Amino acid sequence: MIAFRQIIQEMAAEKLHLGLTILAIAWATVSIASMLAVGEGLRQGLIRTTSNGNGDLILLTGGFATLDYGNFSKGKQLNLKPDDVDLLRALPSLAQVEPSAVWSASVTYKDNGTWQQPLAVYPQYKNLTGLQIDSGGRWFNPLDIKEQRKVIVIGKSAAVSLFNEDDDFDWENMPDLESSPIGKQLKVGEEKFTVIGVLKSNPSNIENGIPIDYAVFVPFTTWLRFHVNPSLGAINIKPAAGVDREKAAASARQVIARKYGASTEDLQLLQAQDMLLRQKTMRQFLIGLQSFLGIIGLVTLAVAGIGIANVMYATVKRATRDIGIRMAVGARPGAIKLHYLIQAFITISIGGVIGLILTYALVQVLQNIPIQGSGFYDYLGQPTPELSFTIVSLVILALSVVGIAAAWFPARHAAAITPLEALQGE
Amino acid sequence: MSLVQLKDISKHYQSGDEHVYALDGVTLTIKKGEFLSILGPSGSGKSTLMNVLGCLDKPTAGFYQLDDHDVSSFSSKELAAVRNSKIGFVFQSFNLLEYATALENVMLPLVYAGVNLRKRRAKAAELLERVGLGDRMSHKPNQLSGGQKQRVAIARALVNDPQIILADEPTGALDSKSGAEIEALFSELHHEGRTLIVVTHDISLARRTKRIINIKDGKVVDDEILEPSSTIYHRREGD
Ligand SMILES: Nc1ncnc2c1ncn2[C@@H]1O[C@H](COP(=O)(O)OP(=O)(O)OP(=O)(O)O)[C@@H](O)[C@H]1O
Ligand SMILES: [Mg+2]
Repeated sequence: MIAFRQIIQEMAAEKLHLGLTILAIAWATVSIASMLAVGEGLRQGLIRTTSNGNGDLILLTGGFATLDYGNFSKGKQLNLKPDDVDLLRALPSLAQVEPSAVWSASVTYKDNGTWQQPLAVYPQYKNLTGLQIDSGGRWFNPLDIKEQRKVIVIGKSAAVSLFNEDDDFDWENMPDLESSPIGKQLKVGEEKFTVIGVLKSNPSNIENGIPIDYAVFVPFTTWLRFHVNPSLGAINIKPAAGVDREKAAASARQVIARKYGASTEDLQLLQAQDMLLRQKTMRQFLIGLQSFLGIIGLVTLAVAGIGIANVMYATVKRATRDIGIRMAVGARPGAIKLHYLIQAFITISIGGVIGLILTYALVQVLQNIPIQGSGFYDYLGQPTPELSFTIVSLVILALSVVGIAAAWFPARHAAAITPLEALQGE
Repeated sequence: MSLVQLKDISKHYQSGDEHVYALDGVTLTIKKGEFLSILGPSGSGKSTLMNVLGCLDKPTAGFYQLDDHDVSSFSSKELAAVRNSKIGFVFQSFNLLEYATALENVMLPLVYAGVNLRKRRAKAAELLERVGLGDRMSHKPNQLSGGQKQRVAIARALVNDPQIILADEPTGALDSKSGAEIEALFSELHHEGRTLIVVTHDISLARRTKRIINIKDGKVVDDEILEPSSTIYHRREGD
């Protein structure tokens, strides 16, 4: 019932207006799609950081007193001790309690060093933080702990910076390991350690923002062997399932504060950071951000829609005589309406496809921009924009709605002209 | 057997305080196969009558029956179907789509009749051959002379095998030679048995027709049937 050729011919006669409209739609599509893609990337990054690392843990750390209370005068430091862990493990609201300590010594292999100092942990730390070992290596076993062995497990990027040739090191584009470091000897301070495992690359963080990829681990007991009067870096706590996390954190603080005679009021002296709550706030912020970006895109699209409507009105006006001719030879009003709806649909499709292709290209470019090594970027889970199926569908839906709304009125206007009016309208 | 029956058809325009009766109580019967011309001074209502007959315009009052259908009660959608299947309209100003070829222009009514592309092409090509434009099918209107354009328009009017062909001053925009060709074409169509109604100022065209209706101030003032022997029967209003 519709002469497609003539739709195309009519469009060809409106090249300039049509071109501008297509441009506007493409631009709107790019802005809405890329904004949603960036938002989606951020959201996915956050999901990555929460599902791994310490994203669902409470991190208990000692700090400096800001109040005079009990054993503490202002400015005095509270150092957590290994036996604090036993007190916390007695609490039923806590499912898992793992200590970690920082060995203040540099890790070196020949002339190479690492960014992070070694973390001393027990084997259970691996499952608590979702670490995974690359094939060929292993994690600490009970014997390493019992015999206080000098073995070491290193993160992927730490391994690269230690064992790859210096010349090849490219901070922006982390290369793969050239050879397996398993069995090689490196130094922690002046002590020789044997590499037993390399971690799989993981964008998440542990402790207070240590990227897993740059972390270095030694057995907790080995660390104890070299330290008199050892103090912990942190205690990682996983609350029991279904427990109020804030209450669990409070009772943990209370137990430790009582032990040291510290004030539970002093939030600086004894800090319990709930990483999950922190991420939740972040996530809410990101959902807000994504909506905001989406709305900006939608407004742009609406403006493009007004553009479509205007061009369509102009086309209809210019084509009035042709509409009359069509009607005179038997086109029903519905066919005329469909004619212009199809025209709008073609315009929007061209604009939308161009826009999506451009967005795809843009996303590819953004995905390949290396931004590793920035703490905040790592903290966000190294987000890259993602043009997911959902986003593409959402954009197509938005385009269709705006397109139909924009084309509807000009098309209806065209269909409402009587044949005689249209023929004499010139 | 009457193809067209008009009873007291009026078309009334009002602009401000001014009332214009473009048609004022026209009653008319047209039989199948008639070849008739409508004459009258400028502004007498000829075009208005043709537009009503062609279902391009609706009368303000009166009854119009076409091929046993009461088209005066039809909706705009139904009227479109009538224009498509029963009426072929030829305009003074051709009214061709400028960016479409002759063939595409002729195919247009078939598009809205839902005919498939192959049949559309074949039928349109056949009719362009019929009007002597077999070698101009892919020309666009601006590459055709006035007479050729009008022949394209006639081919378009014929393509759906309409019951009635209406032509409003079809030779009005043409030089005398092209006009004569169009006149000859109309005569041929008449001899094929088609029903033709032509509005014209052109006496030579009117004389080819078999019946002449005179209109003045929206009223039929004279309706004469010309016999082949050129004997003229007058049927004055009220006879
Ligand atoms: N849309 C309109 N609004 C108001 N008056 C109109 C309209 N269309 C036609 N008329 C009037 O109706 C009358 C008949 O017009 P019509 O076009 O039918 O005349 P015509 O006989 O075809 O004249 P011509 O020989 O010049 O073509 C005229 O007086 C004209 O001014
Ligand atoms: Mg006229």
